[in-house]
Amino acid sequence: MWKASRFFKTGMMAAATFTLFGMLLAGCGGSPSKEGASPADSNNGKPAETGTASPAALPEVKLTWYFVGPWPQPEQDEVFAEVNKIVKEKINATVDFKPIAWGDYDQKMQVVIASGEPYDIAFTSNWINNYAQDVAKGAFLPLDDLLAKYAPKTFASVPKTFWDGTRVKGKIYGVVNQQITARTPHLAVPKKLAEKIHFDINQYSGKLNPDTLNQLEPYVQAGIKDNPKRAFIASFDGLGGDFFNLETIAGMHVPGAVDYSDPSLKVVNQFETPQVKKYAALIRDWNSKGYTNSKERIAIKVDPKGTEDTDGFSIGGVFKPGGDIQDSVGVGYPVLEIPTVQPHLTTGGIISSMQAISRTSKNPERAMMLLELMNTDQELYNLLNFGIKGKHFDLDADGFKVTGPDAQGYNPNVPWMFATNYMAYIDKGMPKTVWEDTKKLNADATPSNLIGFSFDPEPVKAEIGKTSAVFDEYSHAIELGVSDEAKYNEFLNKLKAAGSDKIIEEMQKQIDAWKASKK
Amino acid sequence: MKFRKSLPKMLIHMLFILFSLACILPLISIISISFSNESDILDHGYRLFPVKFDFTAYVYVLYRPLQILNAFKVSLFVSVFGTIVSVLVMAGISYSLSRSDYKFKNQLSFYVFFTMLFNGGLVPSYILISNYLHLKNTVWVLILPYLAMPWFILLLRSFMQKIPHSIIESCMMDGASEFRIFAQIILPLAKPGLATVALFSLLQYWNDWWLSLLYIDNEKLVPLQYMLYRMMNNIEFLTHSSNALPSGVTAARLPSESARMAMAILAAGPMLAVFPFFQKHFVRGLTVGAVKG
Repeated sequence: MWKASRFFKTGMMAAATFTLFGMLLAGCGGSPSKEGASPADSNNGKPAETGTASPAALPEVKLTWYFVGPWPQPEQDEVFAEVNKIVKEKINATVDFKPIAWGDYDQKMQVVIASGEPYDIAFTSNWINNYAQDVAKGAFLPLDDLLAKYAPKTFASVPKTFWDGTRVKGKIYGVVNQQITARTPHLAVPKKLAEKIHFDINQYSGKLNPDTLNQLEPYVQAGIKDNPKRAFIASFDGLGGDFFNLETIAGMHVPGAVDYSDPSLKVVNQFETPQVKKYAALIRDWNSKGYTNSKERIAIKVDPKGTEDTDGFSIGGVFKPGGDIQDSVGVGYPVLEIPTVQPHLTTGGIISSMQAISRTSKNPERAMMLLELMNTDQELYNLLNFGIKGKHFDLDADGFKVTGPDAQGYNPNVPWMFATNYMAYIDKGMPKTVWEDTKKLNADATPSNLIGFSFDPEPVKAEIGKTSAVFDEYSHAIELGVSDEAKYNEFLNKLKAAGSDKIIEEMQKQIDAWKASKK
Repeated sequence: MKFRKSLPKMLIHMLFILFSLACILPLISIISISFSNESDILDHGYRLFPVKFDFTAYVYVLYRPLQILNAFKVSLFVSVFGTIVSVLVMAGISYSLSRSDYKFKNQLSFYVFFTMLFNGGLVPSYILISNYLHLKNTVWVLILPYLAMPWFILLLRSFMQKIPHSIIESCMMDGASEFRIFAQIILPLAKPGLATVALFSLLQYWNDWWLSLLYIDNEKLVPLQYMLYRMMNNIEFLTHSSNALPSGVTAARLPSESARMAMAILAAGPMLAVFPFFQKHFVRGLTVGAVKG
């Protein structure tokens, strides 16, 4: 018996040793995939090797597709099965859909990419599952050849400037989903108020900036007189750089922006520019006249939903054709909207929605075929977006989309994510020409000098965190005009102390390197 | 005389009444908030009684009852089965560690202790579990990683060390096998310790959403906590990053505060019911290892 227990002990020890070795092995097993991630040239061979398959006799494959949204939807399996029927018929593939919820996507994709797990397609952008960082990690395949070979229609339908926006070191790594790309914040006013105070909103379309904003003063004043709750509302994040004719490099809350009219691409701290200072001074003045309703609004982070009789002038969001109709439904009363400034085309706008093909994909050519199919087959695209016709949505006699009897069963509402938004059935109430208008708006926008440049925030992550904290502390008071000039300067000094110069330096370095690589 | 005796008593009672209130009031306000309308919360703040009863939050959270029920089942299975197995595993290893005549005691203790301070990190463990052990999308991935928690093992070990060695020796003399000693003598004697550890590990399993976030894609295997966490996260994401999002996604009409509280109640409710059963052992168990003799 004693012997037996001794055996038991030795066994335990052996088991422990084995587990330890196992862990070591696993640790080693992990590293090659990481090493393999960096050299980009090893990827190039892949599509060329497999690219010979003729579409006529395609062997059956399984594709894995990660994407984001308000998942899960109750009847998603049913819809995905329908989608797969079509996909199977057209390109003999089955898609394993991996819908991930908004809050989990970043984290999940980071682990999936780092582990080298095989998958085929993933949604990527500059605001979630960061494109620049993923490309730097070597997570995606360069798509130039694949696009030309397997997705000619998609490739042709997207303007060349857009493709340039996605290029990293000269190569395309993401298939652009076309949507409203030229982004400008809009000025929104309840229709009822505009009529009451005789405010002709259209004469200001595209003409508002820190220099001309004071032209609105008489109207804002009239609004306040009507109801003191009708405040002028605009946050820095809502205004964005665009309102100040600046292209922000990492968002309005992170120091670092380039003036659109500056061909030398010099990075400055946006809060030190004369236009932002001028705006801050104007708001300070407006607050002293009571236009921002700061007493009530200072204590709350997110303004509560108002009504037709309490909402005033606000700047924010994104101006887009049909946007006023959509927003009217959202807030529950008619709203008028105009773009505040002339739109610019920026890298950020272009890469805000893309599908990329993974380096670990076993069938990159088939994945590209799937993306081509999604971008060209209107029925398939709408099925994935809006569910089954007659159940989750319906089309009326004029071809407009209306809600179906079981709309709650499947309504992810992310048509800009799966493929080009221009193929979506138009909602009832929207102008029939909404996609043509959007295309025109995109085409007319002035391309920024920085198209193709994406910032990699990794080297200054700590500083960005610190400056963001400073921004959070001071911004609300500045936006409401409560801060006096001394407080504003204090804000600038704190930003400096938190490392704004280092961030700007890093941005300048990356921009200079990018500029040099372009020539 | 009477007064002099009752005054300190009253003071003490007051103190405990205040303390109990401090514990109970937040719970009541959570319940109240969960039954309030979102706009009432914005207008009137948090209250102990809702301005008017409103079930929007519950309608939102329980909108898919079958899914929630399924998630509940998964959570229940993982918690109960996981707790039983993990307590057995941990009792086993703690017992061997507590035996002073076990030759590799120190080495094994070190091995257990080492994992408390160092681990492979997120990515290697993800690679191990998904690529080598192929546990992704199985219910086991929710159970196995928490089977042996070093902290609980050390806790149980010090508890078992207090059981006199002479008991074990006398059992041996009577001819009991090692297994019999463990099962019939040690386990019953270690009950308070086991109950404490069982409660902790039950909470651990019940409250966990991290493993399912990483390893579960299959909707049928999503446990309750992860489902609620995901709902909350979706609301949070939509309300706070609406500027970054492409246009068209709006956070209109999402009950955020009240839904958060409704979820808290759904998530904590079952545990509140379980707690009293453990309480008997809990007090004794907590002091385990506090006094070393």
